[in-house]
Amino acid sequence: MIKERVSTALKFFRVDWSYLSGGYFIFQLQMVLYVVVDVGLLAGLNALKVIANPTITFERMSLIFAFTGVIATVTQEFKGQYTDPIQLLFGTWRNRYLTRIFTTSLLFSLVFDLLIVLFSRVGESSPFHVNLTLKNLVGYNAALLLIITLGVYLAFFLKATFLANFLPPLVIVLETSVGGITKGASNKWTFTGLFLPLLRAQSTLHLLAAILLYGLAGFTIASLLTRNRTRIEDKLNIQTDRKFRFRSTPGDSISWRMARAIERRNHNLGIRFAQLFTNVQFLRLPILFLWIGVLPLINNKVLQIHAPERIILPIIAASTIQSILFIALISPSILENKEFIENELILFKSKDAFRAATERLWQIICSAWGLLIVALAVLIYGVRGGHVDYLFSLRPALVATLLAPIFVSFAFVILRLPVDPRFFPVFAIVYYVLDSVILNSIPHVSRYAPSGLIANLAGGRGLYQILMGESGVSAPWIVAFLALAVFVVAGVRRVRERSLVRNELEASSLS
Amino acid sequence: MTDSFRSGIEIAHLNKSFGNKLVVEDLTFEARPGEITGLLGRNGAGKSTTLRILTGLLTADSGSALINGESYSKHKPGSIGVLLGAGFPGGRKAIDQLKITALAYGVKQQRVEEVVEILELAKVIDTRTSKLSQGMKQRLGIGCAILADPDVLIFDEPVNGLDPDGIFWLHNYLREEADRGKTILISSHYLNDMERYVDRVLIIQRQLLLNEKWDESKVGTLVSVFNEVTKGLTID
Repeated sequence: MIKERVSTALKFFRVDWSYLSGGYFIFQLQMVLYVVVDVGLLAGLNALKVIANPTITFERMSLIFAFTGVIATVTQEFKGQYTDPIQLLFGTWRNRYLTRIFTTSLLFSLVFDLLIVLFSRVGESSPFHVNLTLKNLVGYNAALLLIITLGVYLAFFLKATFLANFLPPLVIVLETSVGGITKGASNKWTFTGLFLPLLRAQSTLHLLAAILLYGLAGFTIASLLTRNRTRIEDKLNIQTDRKFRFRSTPGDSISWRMARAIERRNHNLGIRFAQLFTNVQFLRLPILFLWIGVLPLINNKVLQIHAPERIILPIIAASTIQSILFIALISPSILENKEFIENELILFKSKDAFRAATERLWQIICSAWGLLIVALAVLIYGVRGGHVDYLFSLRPALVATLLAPIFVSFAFVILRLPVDPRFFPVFAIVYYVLDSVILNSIPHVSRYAPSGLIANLAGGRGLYQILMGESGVSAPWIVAFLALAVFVVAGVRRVRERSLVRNELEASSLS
Repeated sequence: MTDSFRSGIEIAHLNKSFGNKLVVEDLTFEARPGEITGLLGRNGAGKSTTLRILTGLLTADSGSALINGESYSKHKPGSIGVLLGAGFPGGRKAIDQLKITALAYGVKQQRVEEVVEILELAKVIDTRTSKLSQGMKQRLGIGCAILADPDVLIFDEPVNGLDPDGIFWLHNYLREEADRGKTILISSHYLNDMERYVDRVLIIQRQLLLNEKWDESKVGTLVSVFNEVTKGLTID
């Protein structure tokens, strides 16, 4: 009876539980973790006066992640095989929009409101403390609903286009850089600054007026967009095609020339290179890299620390390696969709040959990425007027380049586990939480966290080692860490080689 | 090459299960050179699993699956033309799909152009595969499979999505290739279509139920033969 009433109420409010299940929730969990960790980190940095002006509160961070989370998940619904069944299920576009908006809002409200209530209970000295009043909570939830409405509509129109991939990282970068760097009233010029009248209403009357105004504006915009959906979509599609067109003669492109050159030296690697680099989804991955890979750097504000490069570069090397694990866990499974993987695989003599070439290619890509990030950091540091010690810069650059393949191998060990691919990011989250939250919050233990050790290898101290006032780890520990990493990777390799031999024997016995 | 070399496709006492579910059980059959062999069965009868074992994508629990006396991995890339569904990365252009296959098989650009012409792919050659119709994707898949002029063709549901012109072309192509002495194994649900061009019919349901030479005189009877052979059998 109660279940029936709940179902009826949910239908009335246009909530669909299927949106709250499985992979979608896991994806959002990752976002929530980011918010919690980053708020704590920003507060810690602020308390230690390491950075000039950290300004992003929990509420605003959570709004950003709600928006980017919606863009990231809703756009996926427009991948050919999903859109028609979803449309048939909801009947009309209006129903589809509304259900998506209300379900997502409910999910985020539940999670974030719970956190706000929890954080209001912790002491004011805690970095997580939130000042809870009914007015603030109502204003926050109104802002959340509006931002999700905006995200849903934008996602529906952008679909899985280049712009849809580019928008979330752009918003995050703007929020964390413009909002963080500029002082005074700069906050209002960020994305969440648009919603300040709701978040920071001076009185209940102000809040009610703001809700009315924003609600009317949101309703008008949503109505106009829904009414002109087809026309807008057509225009957007045309613009997207024109604006983001890649080379129409791939035979002459650099990537094809590179593929042929690699193929002459290593047949399988060359084929795999061609398979990846002719897929526009792969070419869009730098955006994902930016989002996942560079985000920790920006969120950590390491580029804004007023410290010499000897402090900055090792931290960047460590963050980059951490993000490479994310990238290696997420990107290959995005690209190796079950539907077409057999047609990719059939070009190789065996599954093992395909897998080996895939892993090697990602190791190369991630090494290059690690090197690029450190080089960019050096460049930015130089442009900002700091003295650049190129000889010292070599060490973090080498660490980022040489450790990347080891972490990619770790990721591929996980990728070969017989679990649903949607759960792979969970491993990255576990690593992230273990490294950034658990190990780094325990005095005297934080110095042994992977990010600290990597920063030590790169010739400095980890961010948390600095925050916790701990010294770096001595040379024997670093050597032990390296030896352990090499041992594990070598062990994995041996197991794989044995499996290759076993498969060969199996093939021979079959013949 | 083993002493017991035989040309064509040879499946012997093949067994494969997924967990507790037995999908292929002691399956034995041959597909001979110069013949078009049709592999028929209901959904879940083990057709696709057999083809995937044959092409090295799955490992058999026991038994053997050989092509010209050797396992798939021992053959030169491209010498066996395989079509296992027409799924391609949506972000890749049709021409790139063909060129990658050509690179893998060591085939020259001229042959790519030939295949584009044969399969009438020119109009969509610069289109990303996500924007291709099912029929065009199928043509592209067939194009990749035949690119290296293989000696053996293994096609899973080749007429899926093809328009009448495409089906007509495929029939003729398969007949010509069989007449050139090639081994052709086709799996399909379309009985009415298949009975028009196959030389031998295999009906399986985990095991082999029927292995019969087929000729024009029997056209129009495959549905009843299939129903009779599979009558009363259920899929787990």
